[in-house]
Parts: sequence; C-alpha cells; structure tokens
Amino acid sequence: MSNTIRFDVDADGIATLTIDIPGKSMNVITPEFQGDLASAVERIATDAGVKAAVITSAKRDFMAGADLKDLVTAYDRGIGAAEAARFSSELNKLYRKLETCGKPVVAAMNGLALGGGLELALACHYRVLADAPKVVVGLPEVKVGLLPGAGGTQRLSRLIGIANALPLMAEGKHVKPAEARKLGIVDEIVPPEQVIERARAWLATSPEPVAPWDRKGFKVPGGVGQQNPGIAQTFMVGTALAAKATWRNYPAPLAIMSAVYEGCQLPFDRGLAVESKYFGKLLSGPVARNLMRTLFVNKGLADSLARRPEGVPKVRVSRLGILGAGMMGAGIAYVSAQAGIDVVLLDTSLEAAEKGKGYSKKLLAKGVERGKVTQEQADALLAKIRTTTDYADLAGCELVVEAVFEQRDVKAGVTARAEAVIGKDTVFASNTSTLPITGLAQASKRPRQFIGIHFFSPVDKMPLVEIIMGKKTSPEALARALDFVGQLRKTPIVVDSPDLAKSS
Amino acid sequence: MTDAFIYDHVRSPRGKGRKDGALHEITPISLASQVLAALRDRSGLDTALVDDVVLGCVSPIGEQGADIARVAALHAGYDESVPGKQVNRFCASGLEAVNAVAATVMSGQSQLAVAGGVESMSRVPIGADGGAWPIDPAVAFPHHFVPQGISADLIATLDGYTREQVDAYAVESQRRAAEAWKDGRFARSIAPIRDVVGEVVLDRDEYMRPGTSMNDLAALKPAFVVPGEQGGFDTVALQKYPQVEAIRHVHTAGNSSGIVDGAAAVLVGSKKAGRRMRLQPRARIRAFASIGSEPTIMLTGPAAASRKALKLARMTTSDIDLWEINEAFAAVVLRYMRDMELPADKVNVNGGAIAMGHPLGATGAIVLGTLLDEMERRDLSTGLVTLCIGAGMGTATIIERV
Repeated sequence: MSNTIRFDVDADGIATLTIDIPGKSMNVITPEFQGDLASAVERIATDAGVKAAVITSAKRDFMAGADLKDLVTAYDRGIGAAEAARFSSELNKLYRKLETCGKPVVAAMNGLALGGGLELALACHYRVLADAPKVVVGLPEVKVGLLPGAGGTQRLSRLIGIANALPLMAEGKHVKPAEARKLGIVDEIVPPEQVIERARAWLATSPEPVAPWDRKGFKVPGGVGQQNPGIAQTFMVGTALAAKATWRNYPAPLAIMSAVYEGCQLPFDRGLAVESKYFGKLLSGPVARNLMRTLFVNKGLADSLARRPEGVPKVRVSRLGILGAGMMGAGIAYVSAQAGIDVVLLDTSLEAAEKGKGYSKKLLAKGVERGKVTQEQADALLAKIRTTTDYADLAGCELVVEAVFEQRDVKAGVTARAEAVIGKDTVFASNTSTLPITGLAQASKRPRQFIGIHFFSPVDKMPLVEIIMGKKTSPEALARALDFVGQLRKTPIVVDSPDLAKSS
Repeated sequence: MTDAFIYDHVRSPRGKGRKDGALHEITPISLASQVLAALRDRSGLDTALVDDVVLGCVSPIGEQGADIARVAALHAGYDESVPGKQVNRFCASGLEAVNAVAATVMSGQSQLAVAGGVESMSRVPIGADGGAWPIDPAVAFPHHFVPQGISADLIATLDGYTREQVDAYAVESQRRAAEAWKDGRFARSIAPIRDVVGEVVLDRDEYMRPGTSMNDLAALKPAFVVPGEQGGFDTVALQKYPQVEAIRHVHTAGNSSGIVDGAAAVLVGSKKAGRRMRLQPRARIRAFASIGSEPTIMLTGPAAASRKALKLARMTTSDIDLWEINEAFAAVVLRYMRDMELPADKVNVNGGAIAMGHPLGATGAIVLGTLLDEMERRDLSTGLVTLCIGAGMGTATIIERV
C-alpha cells in the first residue's frame, strides 16, 4: 500500500478515508490511488470493526479526475478499443465494489469534485458538499474527448434523470453547490467546516448501504429508452444538437449519449460495462489524444512560455503603446489595462482614440451592472488607458503594438513615426493577420526589435495569441513579446515567418 | 402468372386525429373491424374463402399492437380460419398490404385476400412506437435523421418552391376535395363508423376546410422552424446537403397532410375467386414496386418507385391516364409532378391528404380506392398511385380497369 489515502477508524467504528495524493495540489486518480482505494474498500467490507466510512480529502478540494498524463499516451501506445475499455472497467469495478461493500459510505466533499472525483462521490451512498464560492461539481470529460468512464454516465443518469444528466455530460458543464443540490447530484450542501460533521450525522441515522439503483423496483427518474416520449425526444434532439455543435468532428458527445441511451436500459452492472466500451472507443481514438495533448500538455507548455529564449532578462511591460484604436486596438487596450499595464491608445483623431476607449467603458459598465467589478475598479482600469494623437506620448513604452489598417504603406508610416520617439530597446509589434512580418520589418530601422503579435477577435474572449518571428527578429524581442502575452494570461504560440498559423 | 384483380374497396371517413375528433372514442380495433365488416357485407363475401387479411399500421403498439390484422378479422366476425398479418412500410403500409396480397395471388399461393390499413392517430400518436432510426444516437447520427417536415422544407429549398406555391397547391387540394364530396364522388367507398350503441358517429371526412383561401393559409406559421433551428435538424440536413445555404421553412399545418383517424380495406383476388363469388373485377393490378432513396431528404422516393413500376408494366408515363400521389406535404407533390412531367389536372383530381388527412397505415389503401373510383367515373383505363415514405422509400402501384 502506498500513501494516497489515510485510513483512520474511530471508537464508533467509523472509518475516515482521507485522500491526499503526494506531490499534487489537487487529488487526481493515479494507479497508486486505485491500489490504495482497493485496499481500503477491502478493509471496509471485511473488517468487522469498521461499521461505516467517510471519504474526504486533505487538500483544499475534494478531487479532480484522472491524471491526463496517463491517458494522453494511450493512443500513441497503439491501445485498442477493447484494451482501453478495460482501463475504464477496472475503475468501474472498484467503485462498484465500494458501492456494494455492505456498509454505508458517505462522501464528505470538502471542495470541488470533477470527473473521476465526482464519480467516486456518486458511488458513495450519500454526498455532503461544501457550499463555498469556488466549489463546483461536474463531469467535464467531454472537453478532452472522453466520457465519464467510472460510472458517471450510468449513476448520474439514474440519480437525476437522463434529461438533466445528458447536457451536463455532453457539454461538460459544471454546477455550483446550490444547483447541484437542486438537481439532486448531492444530498446536502453545508458550510465547508461542517462537511465531515454532517457526513457523520447522516451515518448516525443508520442508513441502508444500498444505492437507489440496487433497490427493488428502482426506476430511472423521468424514464428511459424508447417508450417514454420525453426521453425519446431528448435523444432525438440531443443527437441533432450534437451533430450541430461538433460538426461531426468530435465523437465524445455522441458516445456519451449512446452510453446513457443503451446503458440505462440495462441492469446496472451491464450498463457500466457498456459505458466502459464507449470509453474505450474514445480513448483508443486520435481525437481524445489530440484534445488532451493540445489543451493540457501543449497548452501548459505554451502558457509556461516554453519557447522563451534562455538568458534574456525578464521585462515587465509597464507602459504599452497601441497604434490604432479600431476593434483590435480597443480590445488590446482593454486586456492590457486589465493586466495592470498603462496604455497609450493612439489614433489619428482624439475622437477615434476615445471611441476605442469606449469599448472598455462598455465592457466595464456591463461588469459593474452584473456585479463582477466595482465602480472603483472600473474607474481605476479606465484611468490606465490614455488616449492621444501625439506620437511623443509613446516615450517610455517597453512595447508598442500597431493595429492599423492592413495596408503596407499605412503600416510603414506609423512604424517610422513611432520609431522616431521610442527608446532603442522598445519592441515594435504588428498585429497583422495577413502581411508577412519580414516584409513589414523592411519599413523599420530596427528590424531586430520588430515582431508580430497577433490577437484574435474579440480580444477579451480569445485566449490565443500568435507571435510571429521575422527573419531578423531578435531573441530579446521574442522574449519581450512572450512576457507580455504571459502578463495578459493568454496562450502564446510562436510561429516562424512568414506563415500565420491561424488567420482571423 | 395469374392476374390479381381488385373486386371492391371501402374506407372509413377520416376523423380529426384529436381529442375532439369524431372517431377518437372508436378504438383502432373497432375502426378496423367495422371496415372489414363493411367490405364483407357489401360484397356478400363468404369469409371462409379469404386466405389472408393484411393490414398496414405504422404505430403498431398498444391498442394497435399484437397483430391488429388477425384480431380485427376475428372481431369483425370473419371465419376463424382467416389469418391476419400487420405490415409496416410507414406511410405506404396500406398500399404495401395490397401489393403483398396481390403478389400471393399472382404467384398462385392464394386466391382471395383482404388488404388495407388502420391508424387511429388520436389514440396512438405518430412516433409512439419509437424506433432506432430517430432515437438511438448511434443510428440517428450517422444516418442524418431529420423529421419529415425538415425533409419537406429541404425539397422546397432545393427546388425553389415558394410559400405561395405550396399554399396555392393546398388551396387547390381543399377546393378539389370539397367539390368531390359535393359531387358525391366518395359516396360509394365510405363505410360510416358507428359507436357502441350503433349510432353513426362519422360519415364524411371531418378534417376538410372547404373554402380555404391563400390569405387563410398565409396566416399560419411554418411548422418546422423550432425543430429546425432550436432542435438542430436544419444543420443536420445542411451537413448532408452542403450546397444548401439555409433551409427555407415553407410548410405549415395548412399545406401538409392532416393528422386523422381512419381505416380502409380492399378485396383482391384471382379471376377464379371472382367467378366463385359471382363478383365482377373492377381493375387489374398490373405492377407494383417499392424502392429505397436518400433518407435525409426522405420524401423523394415516389418518382423512382413509379418508374420502376412503369418499367415492370412495360409502360411509360404517357400510358397512365390518372395519378394519385399522397399529399404528405405540398412540396412532395410539386417535386413529383416536376420530376415525372405531369400536368396538374391529372394528379390528385379529388384532393388529397392536405384536405382530408393522412391516417398513416390506411392511406395507401384509401388513395388506391380513390384512384379506382375516379377512373371509373371518368371512364379512364389506367392509373398509378404512389406514396412517399419515411426513412427514404417509395411505393407505387399501377392498375388498369377491366
């Protein structure tokens, strides 16, 4: 036994399983954890001194899902669907053993529970969830091209009904505690400090250690299969909407629907087996691998500025010049001010520059209205955006981004005017989406400081930023651009000129 | 090969398929039995001679389940030696039943049979039987399932039929149906339906709206906007037909077939059987065919089915004097007439399902009877009847008066 679960039994015979995966800030399902849980379940089932169990976490949150690091390599290992299905069915069998261990088990969910973490809680006989602002529960597997393969498709559907469960799984939406309680995903929501206490209080009621679906005469709320017109409609429309949402490129939403459609018409254990098979089809396919690789492995690398040249000192952009207050310039101004950067927003007329600033005003007013920012915060942010028509105001900027009309002579003009005033270390960036950077850099007196930083529209919503190297762009300029994108908490991808990876 | 002849046919009037419809209180078994009994009584039929009763039914569950054909024959007082079989070719089931019994007569495996269909849409709603095709995600997805109304709107979009054109067709259907009723052209085929105390609850088609104008129809909202736009089905159709930019929704409750209750029965037999019954054959069944077609657009099968039947009969369109194509949706008829190059005055001359309703399992037998009656009235020789069918099929039958 390794050390991912602490197992304590008190004088009343109540075992407390405290999950604490070493070296991780968040509990995730690892092979070691599966082994430890198997031992713990065995002990709960067979130790006469154990009357009941509470499962909780030593971390701030309850538990997230599987460690994607273990899953992302499956496809490249050449795993087949049947073998991949066994990966899921092992965990399914373990959770099922917990559920049928003969003693009441309660999940004391002290924080967020997602994916396999929520599935573990669903395999308990009762769920108490901490009611705190950042706590959510959900089954987001679809977002990485997978399905909840540890009983989620079967238990959630049987617990809250297919019509409620399907959208949560097919869209990977998570819900806050109040909504989770309303839907019936959890039995109680309580202040975080009372989670264990309430879990134990439920055990004190001498509950029957039997899941609803293991009781005689159990019926899925809202019905199953074909003969229930509402459910038939749910699948009919759900399939069409999945085709629409995915444009037939992502197999997971459909696999989730099939696992629910087929599995819920079967005895529970057969349903779990069907779920595992659909999971196996997804895990053994390229789409899940690509999503996991892009969204986690590669995005994580990009976010950590993996392409940043070594040995270049980090420079924080404190003052940013933006040339052109159109749609892109206005958006870049907003996200930069949000990141605490002083912005000089320059256009040919003050009116045009103010119009660009108006974009931030509009977004902030909406935020104030919705209670997302205070009026003071909004005012402070707006004060960071200074509008001007005077190039001299660009002095002191560590970075200037031009977002003017996509025309070479226009771009060349603003480049020359800006370079006349900015410092020799200042990096000049073009937000072009169509013109090769090397060509634009010919208008620059300092092509080593010339680079492409290409945002996508709407800037405040799109997480990706392309950084395009010109032939003469220096490592220092690249580092500056990456540092800037990091400041904005966006994901940079570095592209070598003259190609743009993605055009808006 | 033995020839198969039509000796007689009857149908119920069509009741509104709603809770306030006249036939709503009539169980499907009663509806089917009354029609079978009427066919027997008016022909003086010795039912012991009947080799089979085959009835179409599209939602054969619940009250319409458990082989309604056999039980309807028993319940109608047919000899217990008469077996029964329920068939389902969706909207062409009633015609498929006729073709099926004709085939057994032609092959010498039976002498006399009753074919028809029944559907009480007010009691067993359309779609009540579910099915893998629309509902099972693993099936609906790869086969681009969309509801029929989306398919009809897709036809209109591809062919460029405007709302005015489909509405104009519907106005004409109402006009023709009203005129046909006024002129007594359906009188011979109608078997009034009675309640449990023997009183007639319906003796004419209840669904019609004589005098319907273009203005009346223009006020109706397109019926398939919600499933198309909010239900995602427009996109599913576009994924199959990428050449279409957007589905134009032109079909409404006013230019689509009506939801009704009804039943019909046709007596089919060999010449020998007719002699034995002392009945004159009214028409010979010359040829019939069913085909499969692209299932997302779904409703374009009639032309291919008709061509196949014509080929089997060694005929061409110019050899056919009168045509019936089920008015599932106005665009289906417009597409068919364009495709087959037919003049409007030879097609559905007494109106159709837009005016009088489409009791799914029964309609094929009803429109066959309507065609035969009109051929006799006009003293025409040949006729072709066809229907579009769910999941992309078509069935057609060619008859010739003798």
